[in-house]
Amino acid sequence: MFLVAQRVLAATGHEGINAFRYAHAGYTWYGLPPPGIPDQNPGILLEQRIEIPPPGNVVRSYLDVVAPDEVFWPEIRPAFYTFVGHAQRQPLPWEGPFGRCYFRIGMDQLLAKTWRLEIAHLYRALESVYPIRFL
Amino acid sequence: MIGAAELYLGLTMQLLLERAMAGGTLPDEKEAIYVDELDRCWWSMTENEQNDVEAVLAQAIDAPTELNATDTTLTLGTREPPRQKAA
Repeated sequence: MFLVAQRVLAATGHEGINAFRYAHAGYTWYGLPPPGIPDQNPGILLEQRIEIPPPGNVVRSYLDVVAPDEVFWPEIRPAFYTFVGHAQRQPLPWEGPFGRCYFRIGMDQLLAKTWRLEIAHLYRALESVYPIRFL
Repeated sequence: MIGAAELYLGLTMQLLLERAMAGGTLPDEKEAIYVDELDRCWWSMTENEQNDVEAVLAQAIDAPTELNATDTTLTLGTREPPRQKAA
């Protein structure tokens, strides 16, 4: 599974957060995802929430979660908090595994001034494409 | 094993996310649970750990000026990545 939330800026000046959920049926792993996942093999796109229609918009921030398809929020959430707790000592972008989840977070300098709030916005967008009803 | 400092930083993030997802504020009883846990965590740290946590929370996070990436056209059921390096 590959969950993506990214803030994009259109040429018109409009800005919004688009979110996507991909699945990797048949794959399972712990820690680092198998080679190629998610960049060469993002999985099959199952769900999306579009505020600013692609393509060609500038990506200003992103939050990616890569995990086996059977991983749900009760496992993702504490892993994410712990990941951010560790990562916030480092300059952005951040990436790394925690448990069965692999996280990537990036944002531009302007958004980084309020990085906690930006992460909250991205995280909320992720929940819109992978809601609790999947539990 | 997660140390008290890492736990404190993680709880801070969790509290902020939950506030944001609740529209800005949490009910008093939920906020009180966090405050108690943060308090417990804070007083289980050494003075050095407390200073370290304060420094982490106060510091600005360095980030690139821009990400040099653009989004891509996506269709449900296909295998396209959501963004690419800008040309």
